[in-house]
Amino acid sequence: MKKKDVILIAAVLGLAALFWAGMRLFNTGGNQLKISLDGESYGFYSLDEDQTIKIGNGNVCRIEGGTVTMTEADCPDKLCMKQKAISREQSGSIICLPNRVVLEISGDSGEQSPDVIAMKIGGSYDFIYEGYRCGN
Amino acid sequence: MLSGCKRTDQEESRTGFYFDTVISIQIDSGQDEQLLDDCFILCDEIEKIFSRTLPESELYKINHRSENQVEVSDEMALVIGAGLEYYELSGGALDITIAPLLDVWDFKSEDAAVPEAGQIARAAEKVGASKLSLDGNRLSFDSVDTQIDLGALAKGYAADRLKEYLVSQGVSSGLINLGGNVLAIGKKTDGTKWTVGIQMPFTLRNETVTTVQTEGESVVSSGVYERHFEAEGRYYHHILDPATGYPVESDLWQATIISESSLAGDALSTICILKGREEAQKLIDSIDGAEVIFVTDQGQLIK
Repeated sequence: MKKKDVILIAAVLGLAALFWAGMRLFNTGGNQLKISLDGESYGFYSLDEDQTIKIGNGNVCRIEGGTVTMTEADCPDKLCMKQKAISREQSGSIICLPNRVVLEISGDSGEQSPDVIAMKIGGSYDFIYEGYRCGN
Repeated sequence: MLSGCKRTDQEESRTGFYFDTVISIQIDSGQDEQLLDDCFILCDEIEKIFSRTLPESELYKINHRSENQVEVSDEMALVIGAGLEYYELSGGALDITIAPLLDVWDFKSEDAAVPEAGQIARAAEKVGASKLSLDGNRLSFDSVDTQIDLGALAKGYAADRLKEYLVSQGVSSGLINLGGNVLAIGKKTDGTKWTVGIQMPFTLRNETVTTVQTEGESVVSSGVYERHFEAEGRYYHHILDPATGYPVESDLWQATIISESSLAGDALSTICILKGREEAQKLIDSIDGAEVIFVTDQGQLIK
């Protein structure tokens, strides 16, 4: 191989690496918190920025050190405030059922992350919340 | 109430609030989006049959009956029939007439407290699926106090119905998630199996302790951590033992059933908690096509 070829190959590889790195940087999966309220998208928030977010009238969550927790909720059982913190490393969701707030960090599309978690939100015996609305 | 969102180039998925929880349905994107709309309409219909609190639901009317015999729909007969079978199979542990006890325990309030013993006893007397009999579509009650709750079976049934519908419309790859009740349709669009995570309860962080690779199966977990309150230094959870009227004292925190039918998974996972590990293992071993993963009350994972 001639020297020119080597440089060409190196350049192509270099560009490819840059492109790949750029794609990773903009991959929104595991770097963002997605909040939805009543089934509608409420917003996307960076996990890299410590912030307190008010969601509707009933909930407040906090992003701190890349971890998300529900810090305030006006529903009676406040189950959402007891749910596990989620983060880039521990993706998943925190849900306030009565207020229909869903905080979600989708798994980094890495090979190790499960597609879905089999863990019940809401309990075996159902319809306990039916027709119930907290706050207003 | 619904949000459409395209997950990847390969799948189409949507989220909604039904059955008192958040549900999501995902299908390969070669399919018509209309199918997802139809799924949510089906969820609505199912709620109108099985909800205990919606005044227009079939179950509400059954519980507010004026006769001791009622004619029920085919869907209702199927689920009540299954409930009665599981009552026998579990030696009376899973009881669809547990409604009076559920009403006495208040798990949704911040100030939840242990009900008074007399109240619990009086409610427990009204419980007993042996006072119920089903002949075709005719449901007969021995007692006016009998009240039915199908929460232990309804989500599983709904998942099976949704899959049946989607498959009949040509969907060969998809994932139904009804508040944690997972039912896969085939494999993922890339040909690999779906990976379902099982979490360790009672930890500060989300901890996936093991995964299940599945093709077209149901994965349903029941656990004592889902709804609970603490009072006077004790922990009260929502899986009530019909024999005592109190939360069952089980050596299991969580039981996950892998099976073909989600209705079976729903019922069996709750039965496992009610029976405890030893009886539960024996029961599942005797059932063809069902597997179980336990998390014991020592936090130990048993596959």
